Amino acid sequence: MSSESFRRQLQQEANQWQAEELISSDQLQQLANRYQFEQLETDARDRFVGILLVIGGLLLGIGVITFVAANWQAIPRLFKMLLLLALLIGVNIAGFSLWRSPRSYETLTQRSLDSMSDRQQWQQRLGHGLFIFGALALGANIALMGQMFHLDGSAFGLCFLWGIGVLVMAYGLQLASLGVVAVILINIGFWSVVFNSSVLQQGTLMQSVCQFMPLVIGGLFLPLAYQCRSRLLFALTAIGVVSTFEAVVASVGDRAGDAGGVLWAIALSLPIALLWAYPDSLGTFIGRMMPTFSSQGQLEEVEPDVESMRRFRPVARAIAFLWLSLTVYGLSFNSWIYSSLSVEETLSERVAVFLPLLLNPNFLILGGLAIAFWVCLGWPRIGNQWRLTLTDGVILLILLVMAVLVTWHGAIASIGVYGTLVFNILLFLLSVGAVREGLSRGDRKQFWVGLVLMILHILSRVFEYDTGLIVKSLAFLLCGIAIMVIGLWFERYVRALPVAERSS
Amino acid sequence: MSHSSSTIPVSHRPKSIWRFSLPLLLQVALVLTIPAQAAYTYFAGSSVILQTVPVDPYSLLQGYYVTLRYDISQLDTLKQLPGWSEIEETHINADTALLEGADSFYVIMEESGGDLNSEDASKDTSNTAAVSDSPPAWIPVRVLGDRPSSLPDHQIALEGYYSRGQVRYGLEKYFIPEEQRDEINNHIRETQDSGNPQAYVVEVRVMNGVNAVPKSLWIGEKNYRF
Repeated sequence: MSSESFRRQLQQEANQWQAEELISSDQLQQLANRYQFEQLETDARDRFVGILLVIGGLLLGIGVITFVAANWQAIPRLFKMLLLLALLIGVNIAGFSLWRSPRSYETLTQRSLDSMSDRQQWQQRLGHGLFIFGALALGANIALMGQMFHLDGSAFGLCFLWGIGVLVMAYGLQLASLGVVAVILINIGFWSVVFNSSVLQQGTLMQSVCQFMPLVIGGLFLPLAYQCRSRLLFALTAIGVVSTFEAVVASVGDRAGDAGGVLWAIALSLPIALLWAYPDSLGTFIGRMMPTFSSQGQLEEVEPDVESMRRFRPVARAIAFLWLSLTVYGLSFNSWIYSSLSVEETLSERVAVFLPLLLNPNFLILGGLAIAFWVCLGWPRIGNQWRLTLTDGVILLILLVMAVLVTWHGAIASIGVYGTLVFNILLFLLSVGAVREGLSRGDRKQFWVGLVLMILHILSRVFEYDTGLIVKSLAFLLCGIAIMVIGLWFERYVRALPVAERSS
Repeated sequence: MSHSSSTIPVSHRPKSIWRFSLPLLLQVALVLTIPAQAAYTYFAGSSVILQTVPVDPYSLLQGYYVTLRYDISQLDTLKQLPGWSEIEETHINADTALLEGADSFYVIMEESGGDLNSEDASKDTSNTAAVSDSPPAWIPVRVLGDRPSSLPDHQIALEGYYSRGQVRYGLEKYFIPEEQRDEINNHIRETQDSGNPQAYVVEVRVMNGVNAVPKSLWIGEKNYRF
């Protein structure tokens, strides 16, 4: 089925065509049937009601949590505990019985499912809202237990266990929304450790989990994202993996030094390399591994919906591109002359830091995956030749330049003003590349990201340096001319494209 | 439908009762097992009385609590104990990185007189404040890097670790009801003004020197237990 925005536009156009007598009312009816125009309104309304119910569930949950926080002594502790447990169980059971449509599924065909009555859809959405409420009620229960026995556990422990509880339910019911709640909870827990710079007690389970957070998040949530085919969950998982990875790198550097800039190079390049080359074939593989359940809860032998799983690479690439842009933007400031070499370490000292670093499972697995992904990307398909597309090649080049420069800066000699120059060129390349790609594909978002990046770049440079007004004016003039030239070039380029290529 | 392509099709959704009830059971088990160890320690552990100073913050999820800073939370106190110099290098001065854990150490507390495990301290004081003399605090006598295998009856080991400038025992929070917060705060202030440094003690239950839970809080001669 085509996208909703296309259907909306088509509906408008078709009505106009009929008014202009380009098509008959019969043909309009056929179009309406084919593209289900009448469902557009109900879809929008359903989504709205769904959002309202989820927000309602969230508010109810926060109400219960606040009740626990009040530590109200008017009812005995045991009674309070039973009350909250009953609430947790009751809300979930109510949610499940509403969410599960009452009709027997064997008698339903896909068509009758589609035309499920309003009442049933309403019930399903209410059930969904109750599941969200139930997820928060679980947190209230855990918090109450901690309060009763004055447990001074870390916020991380609470959030992590809570998240795991919600995640189990998310897997059971294959609900992406519960998965989203769980991934947010686990991230909140992790970052509370980082920002409070609290140290956990060694040898505890929570401490090990914290140390391998990128792998834990990836392992726990990626299969669920595929099972639910949720791009939002995939995006949150991907962001979770790479951001916690940065914290892990910081932690390693905190203890062992930066191994002559190698650690910086890894921190800057690896997450982007991993996300950019993320292959959807991995998703297809995970999808095949994951059991698909039929309506009766039995294992289905049907081929999983491979097409709908091939949808995560654009998400991964969008995150990678934004991440890369921000990184290069940050590095383009003229700070390279100030930062000196990290420490005066001997070569053997650097190697001594570098080796255990390589054996750290976070680096080993994510680094290995990144390399494997890039190999997949350039794997010879036609004519036995290794090849990357132009865009892939440019990204790889930028990542390599970044890694080499940072390592050079840390290990051999300060790159000084050359570093600033190179990163400014890279930033310019990135923004122009994004604008060009966006225009050639007609992708408005990409175009705007590139343009915003370009404007940000120019303004940052003009204000960073104490330049005279003449220079500032010259900069503005040159940028204006450059943008016009790019625009004109683009116009000619698009016109030169054959019609078929343009429409694709 | 366009939105069904972003989520799993309705017909493929698992509706089996087991796919729902097993996760729910697991959730309930999770809720009940988290405090199991603490509850056991709370009811069956042996008592130790610790000298402390209270402060009052708020936790988003669990409400108001009194932050307890014990005598043995201060490095100056610990530094005077035998055994400290052996663990100082490895446990305290070791540069712990952000996500790496800190090693545990054990503080041996000794009873300073009077029978404190006799339940006198907190008898019939459930959820209220009782008035009687506060028990004398136990005295730290030794610090060890490893858990002691056996101790005389009048000694108890408490597990602690050092985290970025603070010594922690997992006993630093005592949750109080919202409606009594002002009363307790006023009481703390009054007692502070009266200038009695021995006024605050906490009764802690300990099991095997690993698990410890705070049981009740003494402010002056008033005992609070929630």
